[in-house]
Order: sequence, then structure tokens, then C-alpha cells
Amino acid sequence: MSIVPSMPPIVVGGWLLLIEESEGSQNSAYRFHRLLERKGRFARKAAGSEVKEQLISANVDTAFIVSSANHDFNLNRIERFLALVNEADADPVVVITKADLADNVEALVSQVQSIDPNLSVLAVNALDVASHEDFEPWLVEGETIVLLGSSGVGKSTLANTLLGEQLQSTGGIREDDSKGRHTTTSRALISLPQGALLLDTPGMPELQLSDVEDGIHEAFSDIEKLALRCKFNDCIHGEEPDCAVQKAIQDGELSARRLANYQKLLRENALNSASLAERRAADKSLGKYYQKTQAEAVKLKGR
Amino acid sequence: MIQPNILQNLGWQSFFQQQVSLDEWGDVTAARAVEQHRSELLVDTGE
Repeated sequence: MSIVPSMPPIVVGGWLLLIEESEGSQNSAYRFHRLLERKGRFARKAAGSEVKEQLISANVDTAFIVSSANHDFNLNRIERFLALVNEADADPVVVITKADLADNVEALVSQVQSIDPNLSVLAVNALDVASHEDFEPWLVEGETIVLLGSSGVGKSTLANTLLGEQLQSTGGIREDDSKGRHTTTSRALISLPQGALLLDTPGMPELQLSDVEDGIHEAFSDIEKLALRCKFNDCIHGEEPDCAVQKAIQDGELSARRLANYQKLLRENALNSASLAERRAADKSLGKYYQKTQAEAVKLKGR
Repeated sequence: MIQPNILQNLGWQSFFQQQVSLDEWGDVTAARAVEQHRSELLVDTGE
């Protein structure tokens, strides 16, 4: 189907309604009717300094947050993805790949578990065919899954293991600095042998959050619950007296890293969302200016 | 005509079914966007 400008933006995973034309003939043609509302959407700030939202995919049920067990392992980044996944109304599952290359996998799993005890965490060696058994619970028929993670963590390797065949070319990474080569460039929904659908997205080198405030609140619900017990309603958990969040950090219930990341993500989201709103406002006033000028031009001509 | 049993393995859910009105029901076919290129969209109707 060709994309025509009159159609709304459609992303992979979206559902649309078509009307069958030329009934009776052998090659039935379809005409676009309308787009169905999405269950949830993954969006990020488009790469580069320009503030623009970019839709990545729609209607995802489960999102696997892939992180490798080498020096690329980063809790802040996992929390960043969690905010994105929560905003998209998908279920997050954290996957630690290259478990065979690290000797501290158990420690990494418990670190992730400390973010949220109810979070599902898998430690796998993506090259091992047996590892896809760990994924079975999420691969049931009709489930749409997506693999998220920075470049080089083994998303393509994992996708191939889940598919049971070589479909994606993998790049292999430079193990000295764990940088991957961006191997995934197209965007497609692929049926897995188990019946689930794998959404294959290009790597996300620059994942900037925008318009995901609810997702951040959900990902950091423990901090927000603590904040309710602060003495001051507008406590920013710094030097204020009787701050429940600072007390939790002193008692060792909460890590200072997590609070810092929470505040960083909120700031980033506020900045990007605000600049998106500013852009819309600027576009609107420019449009009005054009209209006014044109109307005046018509008036002048009419004289 | 929308056939939920065929669409199910493409990820069709009641959430989407609820959005289709009775008037549309007989005339439309549901399809999922499965591949995206610069100016072309590949859709799957499950048939």
C-alpha cells in the first residue's frame, strides 16, 4: 500500500481499516478507510538538537529491555527505558544478555530487582538456543513484543535466537569499548514460530524522553510514595527538614543514584515537552500571520 | 468483513474490536501495518 499525504501517520504495529474495492475481480484492491486508535505508543524525541517527536511503534504488549552484562550495564539507562515502556502501557521485562561473559550476573540481577521487586528479570546468553525457553511465557500467540536497548547489547542476536534462524545480520561489537555497529535499519513486524509477533526497530542511539511524565511517575512510584510523607508538599528532597526521601537514603532503603536519575529524567522530560509545546505555539502564530497577510493582500487587490 | 479468529494471530484484541462501529462491520477489513518503507506500507490482513 502506498502512503499518501492524506493518511494519518501510521507506524508499524498499528491497526487500520480497509475497504475492499473492485469486488469480484481476482486481484482485490483495498482502499484506506481509517486508522484505529493505538493502545499505547512508543515515542522519543527525534535524534539531533531539533525538538520533534518521533513515533517508533504502536500496540506493543511486552517490551524486553535488553542490557548486556559487560561494562555497558547501566541501571540509569534501564530506568530510562522503564519510563518509556510504562508510558506505552506495555509490560516491561529486563533481559541481561551475555550472561556467559560476566562472572557477576547474580549481582546484576539483584541490582535490577532492587529497582522494583515485581519486575521480571532474565539473564541469558543470547547465542544459546536453549535460552529462548526462558522467553516462552511472553511468546504466546498474538502477543506483540519489542526489544529495546542501546546499540550493541545483542538485540539482533536475541531476535535471531527467538526466530530460530538467521534473519538479521549481526555486527559483532568491539569488546574493548562495547560499542555496537548499528546493524538494524529497517522497521518490521515479524511472526515468531511460537506465535508471537516481534517488532524490530532500529537501534536507539539517542534516547531522549519527552511527554512521558506518567511513565516516569510509574517507574519511580517508590520515591513518589516516600515523598508523600515529606514535611513540605513542595519538597524537592534536598536540604529540607524532615524529608522522607532523604531519610530513606540514609537508612539505605533507597539509593542516592536512583533519586538523582529520577530528578534528571523529570528535568529532561520537562525540558523536551516544553520545547515541543513552544514549537506548536510558534507554528500556530506563524500560520495566523500568513493568514492575516494574505487576507490583507486580497483586500488591497480588491481596491 | 472482520473475522476476529483470523486476525487473532496478528495481535487483534477486543480493544480494537470495540472501535469498529456496527455500520462499518460488514464493509471493512482490518489490517495491521507490518513493514514500513519510505513511501510504502506493508499491511497484513491475515488472509
